[in-house]
Amino acid sequence: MGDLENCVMSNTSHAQTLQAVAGKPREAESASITGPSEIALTNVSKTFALGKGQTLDAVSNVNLNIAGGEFIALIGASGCGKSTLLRMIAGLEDPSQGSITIAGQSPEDCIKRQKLGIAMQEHGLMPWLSAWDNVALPFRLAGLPVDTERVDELLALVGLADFAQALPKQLSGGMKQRVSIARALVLKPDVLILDEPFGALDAVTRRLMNNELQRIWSQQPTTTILVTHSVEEAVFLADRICLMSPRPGRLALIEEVELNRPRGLDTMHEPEFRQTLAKLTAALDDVCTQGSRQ
Amino acid sequence: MTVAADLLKWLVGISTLMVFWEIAGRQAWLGGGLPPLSGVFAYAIEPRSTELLLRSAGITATNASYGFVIGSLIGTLIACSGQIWRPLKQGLDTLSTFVNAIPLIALGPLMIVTVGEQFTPMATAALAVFFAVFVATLGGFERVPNVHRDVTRAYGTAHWRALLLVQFPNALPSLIDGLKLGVSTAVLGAILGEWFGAPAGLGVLIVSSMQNFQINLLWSAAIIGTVMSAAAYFLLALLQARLLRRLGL
Repeated sequence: MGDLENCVMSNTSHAQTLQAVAGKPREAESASITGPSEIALTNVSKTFALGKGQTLDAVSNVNLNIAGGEFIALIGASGCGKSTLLRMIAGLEDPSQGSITIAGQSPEDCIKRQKLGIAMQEHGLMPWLSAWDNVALPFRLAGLPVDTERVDELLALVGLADFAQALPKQLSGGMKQRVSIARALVLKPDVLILDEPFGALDAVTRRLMNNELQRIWSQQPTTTILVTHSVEEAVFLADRICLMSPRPGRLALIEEVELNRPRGLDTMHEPEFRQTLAKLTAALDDVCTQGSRQ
Repeated sequence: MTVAADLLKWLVGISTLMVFWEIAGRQAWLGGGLPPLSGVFAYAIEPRSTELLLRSAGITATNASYGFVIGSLIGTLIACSGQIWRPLKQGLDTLSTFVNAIPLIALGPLMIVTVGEQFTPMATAALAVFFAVFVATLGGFERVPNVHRDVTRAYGTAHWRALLLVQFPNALPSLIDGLKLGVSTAVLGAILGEWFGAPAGLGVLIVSSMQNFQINLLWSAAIIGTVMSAAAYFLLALLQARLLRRLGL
């Protein structure tokens, strides 16, 4: 766990954060920020008011530094605050304490510059729009002219070029999630936020989708944060895995995944994969049983 | 299959009612106030009364249509503006509830003195429609899935754009439910408005036939009003089914 200290940030200034950012410049007007963004979480906590003076500590004192272009997986028991942490990074919730910066800026700024892509467990496709129009939606939501080539390219990337005109109800669960991921990637985000995107799929489809996501991600490396219940999924996809303790969510363990890329379905048969999986599964069980004993 | 079954239930229901009416009328169970249905029909198809009824029904239909369109537009616009300027929402909700709480009966005379006899039927119809559509549209906005809200927020979408691209299409099925409710109240509102002293229309016909004890004319006018309401309702239901299929909802 030597990297735990490395990951825990003490006092990274904005200047350092900006220096660390690498990659090709975007042609957008926000010329100062480029490429996959580094993310810094400093003493992040979230407390929800439940009414009648009661409060719920969902996330407690999380420190984490995510490098630009890194793939991070957040795992932990249900209700441990993984999704809350993710929603705070995505700017959908404000932290009660601490700060989150993405390439030195607040998540809200990141949202305003359309640097974020999100895909959730519920695909969230608009039922009245075709697959093509759903992928094109972020352009319209952001008030940008639709780049039709980019939309075509993304649909092809997720293997749905032939289904461009299909409505969501005509697509299978896996296909809908692929459209949802294409939508998340269409504006070339610096940060990709994935909240259990394959949680509702059957085991076989899920493995295939993981493989797809791995392929897509390696074609356009983006700082990615994935929340998942599946340790297997986390080990297969991530560079680093953060294990969160039961409520209030703390980072209990951060594990580097030493598997070579590109990874394929046969990666899951490698001894290294099995070892990491076994280790993390044991750690997860451990953390969860400790939580229930308290 | 189900459409045919529904239609059959309808026919059975209506014919039962008609047969019962005929019997009740012939036996004079309700005295002279309820003539047999056949008598009402015989009266209505006399050229002179047909002409009078259709002319009045046409005026009422026009009043109800204007009222329906105006009331629906106002209801939808108010609900939408509350979505764009959030601070407005609470105030608009309260105002709308108050407006709805004023009995139409009390408003009628006020309308006569403000908008005039000519436009009172349209105004009462619009008022009756407005609240149904307003509440239904608000309900539609409440039902926008959270994941759709998250997606719009994640792109820093302007309120009006989110409304146009995500919230309004989501609210459409509910809005149309409101229109379905509203269209019957529009006919009712128009007749009520005419009652207060419009130059012509079914409402005027109903008042004068009641005062002159023209029972057959009174029932004919009532039946025409009902048929108009029901026809408009079914037209909208048909439109709703079509639209929902188009929207994939």
